[in-house]
Amino acid sequence: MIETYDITIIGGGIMGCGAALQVAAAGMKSLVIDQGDIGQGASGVNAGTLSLQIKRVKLMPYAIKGHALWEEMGADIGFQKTGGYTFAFNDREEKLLHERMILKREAGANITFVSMQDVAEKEPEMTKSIVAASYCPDDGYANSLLTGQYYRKQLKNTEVDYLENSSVIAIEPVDLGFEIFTDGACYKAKRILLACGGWLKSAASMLGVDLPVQARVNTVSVTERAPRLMNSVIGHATGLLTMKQKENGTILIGGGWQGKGKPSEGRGRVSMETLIPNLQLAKFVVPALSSIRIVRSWTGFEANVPDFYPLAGRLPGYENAFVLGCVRGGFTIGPYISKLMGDFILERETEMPLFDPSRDFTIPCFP
Amino acid sequence: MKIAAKLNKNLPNDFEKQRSKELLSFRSAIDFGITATALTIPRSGMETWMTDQTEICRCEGLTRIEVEREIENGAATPNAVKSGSRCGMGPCGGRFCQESLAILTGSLTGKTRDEIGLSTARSPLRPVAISDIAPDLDYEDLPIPGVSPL
Repeated sequence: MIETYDITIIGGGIMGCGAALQVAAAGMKSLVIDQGDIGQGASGVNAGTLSLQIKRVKLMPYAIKGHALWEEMGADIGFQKTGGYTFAFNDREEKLLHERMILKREAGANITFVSMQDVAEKEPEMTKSIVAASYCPDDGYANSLLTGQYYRKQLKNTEVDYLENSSVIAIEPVDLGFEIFTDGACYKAKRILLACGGWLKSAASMLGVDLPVQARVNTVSVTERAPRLMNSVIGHATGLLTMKQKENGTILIGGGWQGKGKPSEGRGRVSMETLIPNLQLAKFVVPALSSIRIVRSWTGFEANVPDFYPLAGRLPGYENAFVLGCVRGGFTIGPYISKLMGDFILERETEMPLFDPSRDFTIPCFP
Repeated sequence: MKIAAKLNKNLPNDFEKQRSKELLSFRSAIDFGITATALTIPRSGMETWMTDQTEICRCEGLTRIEVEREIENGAATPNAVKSGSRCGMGPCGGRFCQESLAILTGSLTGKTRDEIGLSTARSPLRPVAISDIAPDLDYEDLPIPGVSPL
């Protein structure tokens, strides 16, 4: 006889693992299935920035809670609260920076505008072409490479079963639950949570639901170990650059420049057409990067829906199927929203509202 | 000789003799390289005679015991071990260590070398200076796409 789980979670990233830990702590027998290794998709290949300055205004309360959870995870996940700057380089960007950061401050982020003199003292390697800057002392980063190691350990400690490198090929609704088929095995569960990021659309389609999910193909690069060139997390008013220098001296360069490829192809590809301007922008902001070598560039899929707000709730048309993803800032917010998702599945009241996947995506989420 | 003729250069009288001598030493260097590679290349069975302190990843200074700790803690593929331990994440891009990593991961997880595979290779093939791929530009010419949603 096949063992019946209280819940099976498709996707072993921050979202899936976080929700699994929450429901398992309340006694649910849980199974996490991932097509690859735990935490090796977007959760493990993103640039690791934990910046309130780049979060959406309406998601700020979630991001602040997420931040606090990363801080608790601490050294095990390479958490560093370095503070972060966001720079503007022309009038248009200065206006954008002021408008946006004031709204984000009102939403609860501790953001201030700082003088060029302050920037020059704290970050002497930055270009002198900066015209405006904002600062948030709470910003920092975590080491996304350690996501898999961290969550694997947590799953073991919480007695959550997990299955790596197993693709789900079919999901069948049956009496009192679901049958989940992988290549060569079948698992039964009373509930199911889809938390597989860029692959949400194909997973939902196995249950006959068409979710309007698309995937962005974000590019990240890392340099060799370099002399100290920056102390804080560096950002750009348009959101098109993030930089941080890890303790080992390597510098991560991101900003959401788009590579090529689709989740159905397995993994994305770096595009020189976007990698070059990404690096040009990095070099413009920190001229000394010029002589530093890039060791690796790669991409990760960031899923989104048309309104760029999360999917967190019941899968449309199902009582016991749930979906969590498309968070926009999912690395920062993930540990928190996945706990909320767990509470929702446990039929507890959630501390903050979730985001109904059945909503009309053409109407603003926050009127 | 064709190039020399094109450039109107005179070759020394004993050019042919010099050339075959150079070719001979070049060939023996290649032979030496092939033999040395064949003798030192990571191979199945190496896990039986390596010590705990044998260095696996030179760039990151990781020994066998450090890499194996990651596998014992649950990392089941070369990608997962690489991510958790940094094995293969230095300037060589894993060129020197990923075969050894595959062998160690396979032997501890009970998989064959073919089943376990190698970690995912990332571009560029060799480290490249940012100035060599990203030319200087006028900031206003930077192709900045639309700003992110507020």
